[in-house]
Amino acid sequence: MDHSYIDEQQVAERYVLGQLSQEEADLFEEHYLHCTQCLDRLEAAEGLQRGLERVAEEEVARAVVARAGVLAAVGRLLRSRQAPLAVTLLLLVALLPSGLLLWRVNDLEQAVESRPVSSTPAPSPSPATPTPPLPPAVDLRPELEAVRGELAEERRRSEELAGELSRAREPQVNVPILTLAPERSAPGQEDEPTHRVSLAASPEWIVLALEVGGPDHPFYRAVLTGPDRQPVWQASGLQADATGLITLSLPTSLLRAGDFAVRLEGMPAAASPVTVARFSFRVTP
Amino acid sequence: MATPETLLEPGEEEIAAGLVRRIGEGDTRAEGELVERYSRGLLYMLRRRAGDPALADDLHQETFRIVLERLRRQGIEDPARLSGFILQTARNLFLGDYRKKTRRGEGHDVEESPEPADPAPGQLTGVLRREEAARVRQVLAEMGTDRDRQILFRFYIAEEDKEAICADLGLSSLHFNRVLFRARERFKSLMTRAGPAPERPG
Repeated sequence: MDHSYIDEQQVAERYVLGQLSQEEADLFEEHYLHCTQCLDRLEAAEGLQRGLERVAEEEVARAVVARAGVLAAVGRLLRSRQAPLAVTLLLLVALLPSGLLLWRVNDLEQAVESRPVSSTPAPSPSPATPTPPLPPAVDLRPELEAVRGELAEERRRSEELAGELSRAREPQVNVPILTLAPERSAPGQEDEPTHRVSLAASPEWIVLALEVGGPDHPFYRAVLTGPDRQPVWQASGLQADATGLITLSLPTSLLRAGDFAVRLEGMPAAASPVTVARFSFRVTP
Repeated sequence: MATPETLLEPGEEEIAAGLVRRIGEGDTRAEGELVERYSRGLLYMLRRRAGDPALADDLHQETFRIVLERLRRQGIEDPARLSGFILQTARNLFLGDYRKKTRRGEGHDVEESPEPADPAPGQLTGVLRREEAARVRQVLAEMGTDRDRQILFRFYIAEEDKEAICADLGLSSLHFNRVLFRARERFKSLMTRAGPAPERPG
């Protein structure tokens, strides 16, 4: 059997991704109906795709938490029924380093008090009566000063975090809203984004309003990709509002300077997801 | 290079015509052979379309019932395209079912609109997905370079075109195909080693 076309054109993978034309999909279905080799290939490609999706979701979740300094996750939790959990999480994040440093400062202070260092330098050892060298931890004051500095810095960061949290809970004023129309260019030939947004110095929120084009779908999935074309964030189960818009509110900590894109996929009730639109915008520093 | 028109397996036409003829002559063994030959592919296609394993199973059974009755009674116009006939029967059944449900759903409010295929995966689905992700992590760890890992993510997740990925990363088509092939085969071997997967719930 000649599988060269299927291999060369990644027909099975593109079928799994819902990227074949209707005619190609019909022909391929007629082929795989009796082809064990292609069915094996389809099942492997499907599993691989699902697994990669999950790995990407986990990586994105990790990146979001790391880059948003837990704030985005906490902010979302605060608006949910899990608000108490969010507060606990925040307190842990904010207070744990300070608490540990404070404990270390107390520990060092006690050690300094119990082992006072002589104000006069130690006499140089005579060759006849060798004096054992002083233990390296005798003078703890430099370390104490360093830890006090770290503690002050940690307290400053905690206050900053608390401030950000407080701002996240406040009603937002003048939230930037970027209304995006679908791109018209062919895939792989994207023009320079016409929509631009500049980031404020402090983290804030941005609303992306996506004009949903093409046929209606009960649910949509949106995937935000960054300048390196790697997924930065994604969400499923989205619905367009009565005016045909899907609005996403995102923390700007997800963004950085460069070109971003949002791929919107329709999730038909009884078929594979289909890409319905692509939106792009440029983030300027 | 082959074209899509040549996707039908060379021996398929003869086998299909033989099955159609024998079933028309009352050969019940041929009916069993037909089901065995096309069952897995038909079920895969129906599960993909329906997104509901129970519905796919029902349609699968109903398709074979209709196809066999038709072949016993009057045969089909082009016996060599038996697989096309089976598929069309299944698609018609699926569409009929979908239309029936849509008609029933007319006038319902948004809360009653169809759920996405997998809105809240059950426990078994969750376990299966975690296993798949673990296999994928192993495949990724065994891949030669970061560039190869990037190919997989860009193709399967960002859904970029092969040409765009190759141009961007300075790859040949052959290298791209090889990376996809190796990843898929490795994933398949890990799947096989883990044993047959339980039925995936919808």
